Amino acid sequence: MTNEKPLLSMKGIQKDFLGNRVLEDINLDLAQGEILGLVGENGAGKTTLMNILFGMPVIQQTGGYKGTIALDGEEVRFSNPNAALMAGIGMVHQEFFLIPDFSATENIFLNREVTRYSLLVEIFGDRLRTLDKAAMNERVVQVIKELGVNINPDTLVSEMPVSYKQFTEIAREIDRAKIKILVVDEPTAVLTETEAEALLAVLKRLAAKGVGIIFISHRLHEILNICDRIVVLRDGKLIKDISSGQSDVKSIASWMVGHEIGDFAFHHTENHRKTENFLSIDHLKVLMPGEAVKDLCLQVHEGEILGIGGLAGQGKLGIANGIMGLFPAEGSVTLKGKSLKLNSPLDAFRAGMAFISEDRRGIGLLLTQSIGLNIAFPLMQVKGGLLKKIAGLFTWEDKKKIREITSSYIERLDIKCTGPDQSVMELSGGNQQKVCVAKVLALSPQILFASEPTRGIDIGAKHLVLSVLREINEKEGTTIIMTSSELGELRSICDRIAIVNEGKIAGILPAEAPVEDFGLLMLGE
Amino acid sequence: MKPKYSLKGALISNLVPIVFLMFAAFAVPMSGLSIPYLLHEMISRLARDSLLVLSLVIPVLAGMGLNFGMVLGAMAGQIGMVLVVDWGLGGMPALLVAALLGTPISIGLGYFCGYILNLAKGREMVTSYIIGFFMNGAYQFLLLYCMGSIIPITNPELLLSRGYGIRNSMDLPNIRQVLDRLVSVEVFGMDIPILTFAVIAVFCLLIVWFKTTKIGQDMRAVGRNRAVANGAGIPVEKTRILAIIISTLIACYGQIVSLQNLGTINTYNSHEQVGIFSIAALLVGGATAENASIANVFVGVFLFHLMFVVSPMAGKNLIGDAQLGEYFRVFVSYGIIAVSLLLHAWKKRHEMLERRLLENDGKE
Amino acid sequence: MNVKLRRNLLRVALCLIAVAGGFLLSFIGMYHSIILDNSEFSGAGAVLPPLEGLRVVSEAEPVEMSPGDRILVSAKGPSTTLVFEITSPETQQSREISYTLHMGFKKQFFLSVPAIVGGEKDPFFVE
Ligand SMILES: Nc1ncnc2c1ncn2[C@@H]1O[C@H](COP(=O)(O)OP(=O)(O)OP(=O)(O)O)[C@@H](O)[C@H]1O
Ligand SMILES: [Mg+2]
Repeated sequence: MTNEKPLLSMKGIQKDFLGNRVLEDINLDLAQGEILGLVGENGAGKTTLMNILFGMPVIQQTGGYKGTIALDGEEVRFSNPNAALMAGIGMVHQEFFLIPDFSATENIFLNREVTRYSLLVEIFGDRLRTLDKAAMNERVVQVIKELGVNINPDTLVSEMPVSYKQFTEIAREIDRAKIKILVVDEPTAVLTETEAEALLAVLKRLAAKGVGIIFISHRLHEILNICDRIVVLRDGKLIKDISSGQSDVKSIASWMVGHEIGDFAFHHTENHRKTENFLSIDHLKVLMPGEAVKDLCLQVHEGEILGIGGLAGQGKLGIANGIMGLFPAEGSVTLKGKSLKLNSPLDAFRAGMAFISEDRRGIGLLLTQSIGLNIAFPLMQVKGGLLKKIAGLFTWEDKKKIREITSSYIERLDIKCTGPDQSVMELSGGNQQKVCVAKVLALSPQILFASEPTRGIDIGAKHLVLSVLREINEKEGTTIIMTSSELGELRSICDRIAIVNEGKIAGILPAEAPVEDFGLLMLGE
Repeated sequence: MKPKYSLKGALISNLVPIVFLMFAAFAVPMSGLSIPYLLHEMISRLARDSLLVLSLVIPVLAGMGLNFGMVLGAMAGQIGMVLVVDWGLGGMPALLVAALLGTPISIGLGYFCGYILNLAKGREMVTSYIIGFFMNGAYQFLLLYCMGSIIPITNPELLLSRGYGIRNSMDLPNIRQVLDRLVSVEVFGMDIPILTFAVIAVFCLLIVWFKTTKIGQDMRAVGRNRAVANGAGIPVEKTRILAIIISTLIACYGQIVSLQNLGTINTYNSHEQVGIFSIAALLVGGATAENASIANVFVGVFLFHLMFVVSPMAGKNLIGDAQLGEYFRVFVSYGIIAVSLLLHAWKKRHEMLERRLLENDGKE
Repeated sequence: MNVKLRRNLLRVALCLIAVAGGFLLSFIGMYHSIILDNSEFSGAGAVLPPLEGLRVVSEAEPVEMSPGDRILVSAKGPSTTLVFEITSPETQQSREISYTLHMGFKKQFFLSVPAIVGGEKDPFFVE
């Protein structure tokens, strides 16, 4: 690097959460126009480091941090996010920072609305200026176009598919006028490869304009693709700070976990009970914005792992969301000859189906509650609910049992936490995702819809989660319908893979089929 | 996230007004009251109470629930009225001066209430109820001890015989219905107080306009998600205080309009039930602690008062005793509150259960 | 001019207008009680006897007053006009005298009708 002052320089950063040290002596520089890749296992401390930079309230509330941060050579210490914003730092949070009941435009322009003069301003001050919706919508359309997606500015965030939420959040940050540093915390985890590429291109363009970017991702090829420099964290310590030309996926992965990792491959066993007409989906239509299912028919065999793939926006995510009643659906779904009531999540659950949502960030995790309660909650609601038992009234024995179950899942999925009683809010993003998986597994469902089950989970733990899915499929006979934007992931675990195109099934292939065949199906040929 | 076109969804979300409408459909013929009479009553009561109920809309927008603290505004309006009566004012000027006097008092009380509610985030409703109680004590102290001793009261007729403290009730001969009668038209033998409705309409328009301003947008943001609003740099606490101040102000004006319609002040009672009744009316109109629209206000006032007028007669005809009818009226009006709160609680539970299982939106 | 200063000036002005408006409205909207007395009045110099056949027209209903009567009329606003119709019992001729009273913020007035009719400068009773 040149000897001019770096844009951002963090020195000796240390952070404890109630005696639990999660960051230790981190030194990090960022130059103008540089893209820095920040990688590390789940719970390594990436998000925490960025929260410190951005002045997030959670840092103050847990006792602040040690060390210094300098911006353009001047020491700063942000006490709230607004101060960081004012200083020109933007952050795309790992957990969505959006208002669900607001439209895309309203979220993108939150507290920096385009306004018009009104007479009452003279008396009551500038907050009585009226909003200029048209001007804002126009700008939003522009920004969103730049990102290469097609979001209607008036769509409510709560009605958006998860990738749109992500784009909305990104649009908000890149639209800021005087942004100097942009932090993006796992923005691509919810995106398909094509969407991610569009986003990476935008980031590159921003960097070319001189914005310093810190990019966090578990997809290491993305990191290698766009970053100038890579910083690896492990257990709160800075392990490696290296230019991206000098590294490859394998070595980064081994720096992250501290040892070599091999390739993942599952041995396909052929002992599945292949009952025909187990779950049949006929002429399903789902009104899910951006992921509409148009007229889809699909037969699922008992005991198989069926993969669903396809390009973004073609409707692959709509299938599970429609059947589970999250988005309005029409058509017929029959389970073992019995017709299922659509648009009723409760009925879906009671029919023995469960769902790992791709929208982990909106996931009904009871954030302030313990891991144990989160895992036990659906179990009590669905199963105990039938027995007319009230959630708040457990006996001592139940509590013990919850801890037992929880501990077993913590071990099985390697959830990084202080124990079953830690609140979910305090977990890192990837570990929250693992709690989501555990919560659904605890239900022992007959059919499991798993949409992007490994989202935000690091490269090492991914294998673990997939093998747990495989295990319940083999041992308990659970039928799994797994949706993923990574074809490789689908091919490593599924028996058959259905490709969705334009809201319909374009074709179903065995997992061993050549990659090119899948590609052709995705393109609708 | 429910299907938008589902009839069941529409029924569930309007369950409360529908239940009351059905009840009314049964009770109106039962009461034997004539339709023109009822219509006349309803118009008069809409003019009287709409503004008070309207005052509840803004705090709901800001996510602060149903503002039981609106009674503070009613108290402010009443203090203005008492002073105006003492000074011997009458006619429209009296109302305007009472409003002018009530304004700073309301702003002060609203600030106080908002400040305390900021200390009790998430428990606004119960806290505002308690503040209402507590301030009622202060109000009584002010009128019962300070007025006539510290605060000069010139008109001895207003004072208790001991020489200080305001009497229990006072007539407003020169103020009675001045607003209602100033501009009114007769339709089918009914006087329609055009000006009063115009005032109400102006406030409705103000609220609608307010929602299109920056501060209105900030309030919505704060109401929907405090953490995100704060993160975006919106001054959350200030915004919440403003919402309460606006509510208190509208309640103050609403009380003045309502008192001129009634033509008497029950010094120590008029404001007391305003909070409960307004909130009950709003709930009956289909609002919730999270969502209230202007339509809810009018539907609510109409249905609530319809029940109020009809139920004693219906009770009398049903049970055959006027006194029992009277009990019936009290029973029904409080029953309305209990039922609508129960219905809301049920609806909320239903939604929450679905939501959690759906693994969706658990963050809010 | 600086925006902030302009707005603050405007706000102060509006507050002042509100206060002034309040005063003005009180001035206009205040009700006053006027006691009219129709008994002998002894003012500066002359002694004026009570009037016979007196009718008073005020903002309220017109009232007949016999000698020795006292009535209370109420009047609104900064000033009011009282009209006294005096019909002489003998000649049946009547004359009308109107009298404008400027009331300001004072609430009670005590007036002698013979004094007003007799053109006294100071028709107020002192109690
Ligand atoms: N509010 C909190 N209270 C207590 N501990 C916390 C809190 N927030 C984070 N931690 C802990 O700090 C550690 C680092 O978390 P962080 O969220 O920074 O991980 P991460 O690197 O972003 O992981 P991921 O890839 O899963 O997002 C974790 O062990 C986590 O449990
Ligand atoms: Mg993280």
